[in-house]
Amino acid sequence: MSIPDPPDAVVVASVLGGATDHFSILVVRYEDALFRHARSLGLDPDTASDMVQDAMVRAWERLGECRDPVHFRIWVGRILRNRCLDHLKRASSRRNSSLEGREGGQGHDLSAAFAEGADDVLHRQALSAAIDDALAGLPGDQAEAFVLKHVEGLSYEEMGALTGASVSALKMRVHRARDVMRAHLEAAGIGSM
Amino acid sequence: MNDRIHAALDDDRRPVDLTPGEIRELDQLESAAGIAADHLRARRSPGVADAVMREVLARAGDVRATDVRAGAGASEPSSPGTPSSGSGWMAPLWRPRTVIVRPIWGLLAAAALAMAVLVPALRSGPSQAPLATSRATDAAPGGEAPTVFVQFRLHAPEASEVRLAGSFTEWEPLHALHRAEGGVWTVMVALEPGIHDYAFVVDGAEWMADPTAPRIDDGFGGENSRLALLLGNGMRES
Repeated sequence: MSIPDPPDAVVVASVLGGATDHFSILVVRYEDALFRHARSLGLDPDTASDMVQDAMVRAWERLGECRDPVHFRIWVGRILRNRCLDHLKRASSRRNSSLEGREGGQGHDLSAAFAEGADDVLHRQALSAAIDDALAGLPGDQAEAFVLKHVEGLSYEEMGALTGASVSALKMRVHRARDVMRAHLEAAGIGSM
Repeated sequence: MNDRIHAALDDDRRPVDLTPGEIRELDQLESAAGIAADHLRARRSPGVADAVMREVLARAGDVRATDVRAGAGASEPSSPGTPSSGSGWMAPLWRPRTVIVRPIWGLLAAAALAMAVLVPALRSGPSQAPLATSRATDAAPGGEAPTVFVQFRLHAPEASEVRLAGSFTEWEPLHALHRAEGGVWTVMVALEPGIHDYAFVVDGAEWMADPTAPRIDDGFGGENSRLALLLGNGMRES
């Protein structure tokens, strides 16, 4: 007997109806996407994980206010984003925590890794470094837009509902991020550039 | 970068309108975005579900304690945004009941929202009759039955394992219930509309009927529980 995953709205209704433990379905379903979103805003892995945990608990507390449970993913994404932005504002004195004009990456010597005939592990490390450098070199809103669009597969309309930005502004951010990503990968000799 | 290329990547422009040079650039851009996306998508959360649920269940317990102190009569952890259902006038609503759902595409949101309203009124003590809400599928055009998600609950604080068996599993105890707070075990199961008989299997040996649902003779000297999920012209209780 195949058991389809219950849609978000059904799970939300179940939790609101008293099955508190069913909230774990939503946590498991979205924690990876929320984690990547938090990381795209410039948070380190530990802080990003803390933000996801905090956002999920807040989402449970405020679940009765979720007026469109079909789009729970967007709603909880907004909670996470606000939590991350609050955190970044408080930590704005730290250079790597600013949304605007973030520092570049760690100066990875990508060409060396490839010039040495790197194996798969080295290749993955170089690829990871190139992508991290590209994202770190972008303003936070562009890195976020790239992740939401290309990694999470949201539509521009969904991205607008999540971020509050206009579709045209989001497209510009994604366009800029694509250009930067391509330039970094090209410089690292990755892909068919 | 040429905006025409990005417009094509965003499906705002047809690639056939691009020049051969632009198409080459489009391919390069798409390739870079795809490589980066695939790599980033492989990054996973270290796992916060356990921590989140510990916190959520702890807070739910706090709310329950508050309710009891306030004399609200709630005997279960309260849920966010739901009123207490412990008032005496609601007691008749706790009886086992059938939920009738209309199989039309697009009912999902309405049904789920209706569930948010109905379920608090249906809540009972630690055990309660199964609750159902619909997942309206594209059933109507092809005549395929919609799926109904039913929540089964059993209060069995001493049990170490509870499973669900029924006519919908060929009486194999396929569905393991999850232990929740207060000795309540719960599981959500997708069922097709119809009449379903079921029983809980406690600790792998004891078959027991749902104490809150209608019972029928199992033909072997015991009893099973019966759940009716009927299709009608609207979602209502019966």
